Amino acid sequence: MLATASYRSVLKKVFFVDLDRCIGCKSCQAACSREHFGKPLVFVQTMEEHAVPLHCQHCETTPCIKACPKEAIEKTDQGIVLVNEIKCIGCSACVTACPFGILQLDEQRKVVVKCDLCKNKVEAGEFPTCVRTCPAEAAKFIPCIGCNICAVACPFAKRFGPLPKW
Amino acid sequence: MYDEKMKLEIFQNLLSQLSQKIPLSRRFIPVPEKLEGFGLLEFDSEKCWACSACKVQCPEEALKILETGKKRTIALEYWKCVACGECVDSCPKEAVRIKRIFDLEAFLKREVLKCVEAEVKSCVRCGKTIAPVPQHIEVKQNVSELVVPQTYLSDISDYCEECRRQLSALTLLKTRRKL
Amino acid sequence: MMQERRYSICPFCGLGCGLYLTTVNGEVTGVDYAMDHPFNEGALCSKGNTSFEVIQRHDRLFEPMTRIESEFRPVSWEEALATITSSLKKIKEKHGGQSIGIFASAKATNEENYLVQKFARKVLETDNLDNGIRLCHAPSMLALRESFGFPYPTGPLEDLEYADCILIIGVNPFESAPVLARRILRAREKGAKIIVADPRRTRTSWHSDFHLPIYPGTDIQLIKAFIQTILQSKLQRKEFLRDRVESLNDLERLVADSSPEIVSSMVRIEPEYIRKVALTFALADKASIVLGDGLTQHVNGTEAVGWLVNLALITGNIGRRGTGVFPLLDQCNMMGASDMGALPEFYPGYVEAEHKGLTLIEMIESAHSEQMKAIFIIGMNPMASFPNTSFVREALTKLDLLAVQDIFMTETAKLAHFVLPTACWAETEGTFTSTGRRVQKLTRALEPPGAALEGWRIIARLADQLGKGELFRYNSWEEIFKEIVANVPSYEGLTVDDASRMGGAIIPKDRAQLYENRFETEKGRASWRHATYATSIERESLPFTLITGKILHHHGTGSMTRRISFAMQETGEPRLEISEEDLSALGLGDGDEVYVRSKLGEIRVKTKIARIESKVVFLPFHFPDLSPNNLIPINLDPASKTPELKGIPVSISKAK
Repeated sequence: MLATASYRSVLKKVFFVDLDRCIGCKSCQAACSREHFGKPLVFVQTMEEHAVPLHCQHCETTPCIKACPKEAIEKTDQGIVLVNEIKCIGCSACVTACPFGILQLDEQRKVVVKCDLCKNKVEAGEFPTCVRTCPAEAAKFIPCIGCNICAVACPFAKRFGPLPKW
Repeated sequence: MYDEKMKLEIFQNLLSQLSQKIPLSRRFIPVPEKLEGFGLLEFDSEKCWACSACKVQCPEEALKILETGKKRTIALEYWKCVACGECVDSCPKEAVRIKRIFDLEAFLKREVLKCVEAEVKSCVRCGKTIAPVPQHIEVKQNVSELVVPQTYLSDISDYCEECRRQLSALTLLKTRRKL
Repeated sequence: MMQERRYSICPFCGLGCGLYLTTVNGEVTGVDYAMDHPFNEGALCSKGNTSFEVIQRHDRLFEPMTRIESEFRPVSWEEALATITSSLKKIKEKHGGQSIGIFASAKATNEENYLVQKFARKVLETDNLDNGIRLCHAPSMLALRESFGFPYPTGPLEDLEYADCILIIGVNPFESAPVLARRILRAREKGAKIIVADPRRTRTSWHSDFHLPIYPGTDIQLIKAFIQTILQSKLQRKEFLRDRVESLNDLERLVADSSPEIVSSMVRIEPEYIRKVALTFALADKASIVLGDGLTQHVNGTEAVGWLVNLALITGNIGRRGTGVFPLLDQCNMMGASDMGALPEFYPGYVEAEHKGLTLIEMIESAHSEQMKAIFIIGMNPMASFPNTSFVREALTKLDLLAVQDIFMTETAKLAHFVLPTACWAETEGTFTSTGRRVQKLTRALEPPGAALEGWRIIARLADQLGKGELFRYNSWEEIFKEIVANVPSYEGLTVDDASRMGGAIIPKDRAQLYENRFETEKGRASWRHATYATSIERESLPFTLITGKILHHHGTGSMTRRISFAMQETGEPRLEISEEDLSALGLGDGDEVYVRSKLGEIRVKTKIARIESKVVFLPFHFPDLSPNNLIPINLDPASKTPELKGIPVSISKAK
């Protein structure tokens, strides 16, 4: 069983998207791209009458890390999954591995990029940029109570063993 | 490194030096030991993923990707190559090496050399390329060693990242009973 | 390399969101969030988030220029001002002050607008002065003022979260002013019912409980049907009517011919649904109405707002928290420009002018007939925002003097004799008044580029050149602010500190919620709005009806947002929204090009399948090259002189 830390257990916060609130205005995308070299790392998927912002889930199982041939993705002590831009060669193996389609190749900067949970801001005690800017209060960074319902509800977790306790 | 004009000058010097010792009837010229900036890429098609990391990292934009539906070709605009070795260092499969040979004819004729060709896996939903087949197979293999759901192996890997995002969004909406 | 932050107010829509501009060594690098702001609580939409990109664009106007034929050449301020004023003097002497007009900016500060109106009336001696409110909310301003006493939204915008029912009509705030979604969705979370009336299914309707796909221009019939239902079901608030409103008189008779069954075919909504919505609204304890251009930009705009006033009165929804009528003014200082009297029919503070001047479109018509000789346009782009673009071009070209003050070379500036560069919102100090009546101070983040000057200084210099400098001796914006506070009744008691604190101060001071006990009318009671002003106009019978409007990420005529990379990546070109059935009936698919033709002209544009009423099409107006205004004839609402910009008959055909 994997005993990797989750940012939910370390920071005691969870990225929650209130789908009743998301209006698909893409303010999060605009703000995120401003903070990240002009490339947004959150994706607002719009369907006919709904919008869903997708972030990196900073998963337990991290298929991206498993697929990377250069060990260029790492999980920090805080449980945040980060791309090491010095080691990354831009082979896009992680892009193929991610079930949520979150990683992207930035050809200009020659690395793969993905949501970094606004690490610098979070470490300074602030919320990630998308949460701060969301006009409709749809993107939330709220206290995690460790109930594991996310694991049960996760559409990709059909064959999942017991989670590490925290 | 060297630009085209400088290279040509250096080359003219080299040619005149060499022609004094070797008759210049050959296409491939061995590159003298301490001389930088000249070489010929060799791709091992057994190992190569056709992932294009080499193309992404190439500082001279000499490597190009040509994709036509089912196949991806990695090609080299030879006259731009300065044999810097970025492609060698960045290759995840160690499938590229630089031979210390200079292809004079390809250089002078500005040839685009075909390096490697591979099939690509296309998204079942939109037809966009997901990844070249050799890379796709290995990534899928690696990921299956994790405790991940069957859904990844049987469904998700057949979709490109854009369609995966749409699917994730749809699944999220369904789980939260919005749809 | 110190990063600094300067607190300011977003320059786009009228919500007045607070934000910080971050600068490093005099360069604007980004935006930060004002989490303690009482209205937006830090939140910003995509426009606010990317607003900083506009400031240091390479194509900012930075020196005064004059046009010779079609070439612009730079001139000094001395030359520009001297030539402009000597020209104005001659025109005034020969044709009188009324041959000169000023278009004031709904994006300029209160201080600048106060000086503009002083300049117009005291220096040029003209009442031909107007601002962008004319294009959208003059109907609201007039109807609300006539009935309640003030032309204002009746409560603070934040209070929408306390409503039990919100009727959103003719406006799409979740796309044009996304931060308002915060309050509306909080209300919804607490159980409020959201009703949206719009021919399109927009992001606002995604979150609605009732969607009325109303046929463009039939708002009056719909609201009358609501009132008829309410009266018939005896749900009117008798106590409120008895204590607060003038007697009911004719209202019942006026709506007798507007039952849901009768209006159904006109508004194209099932009568039972109309009835259900009316009852929901009437049964709510606290109901609010949010309205916008979709309702006001018709020849019966003032009448339509009047009927909304009637609806609010009959259900007793004025004067309590969570109730009210909220016109959403869509520019950062449209409210302020109007408060400052940059209007032909009002002096500062909505005191009726002795002589009513010409409104925006009337000034264009006057220029076209060569009676108006000079127009000074500040921060407005009529070539892209006024109807009948070719008529506007002809009119402006006929002027003896056209001077344009702006931050970019807009389509209008290209026709000017003189272009004057001005400071943008980040380069000036002064106040904006939001649609929620918050007066908020801007902090300068950097100096204006090149020779560009703050707007109020330009006016002061012009006045000086015309010999009236003594009326314009101000050393700072604070001095002007103090004069405003002394002269504009609703700004009484405001201090610079009030305006400088985060969230500013709502005016009239200490009266955020209006009409709690009495209305601001002579008798203290509200009056009904029954007057019919509309003249009937000849309309071609063409198969489609065109409506115009706003889309996400873009603003106004796009002179700012078309220079923002995010907005252009998301939507770089306009698309004609049309229903799938209508498009396939033309034998076309999503993305195919069509010709849109009205009696005035035609444009060629790409289509986009959307959930919009059958035979109705929508085109955004943020892209002047493909502006729907090329197709729209000039038809004004007789009461407010607001042009009709929606509900235009057009035909659509395949483009080869």
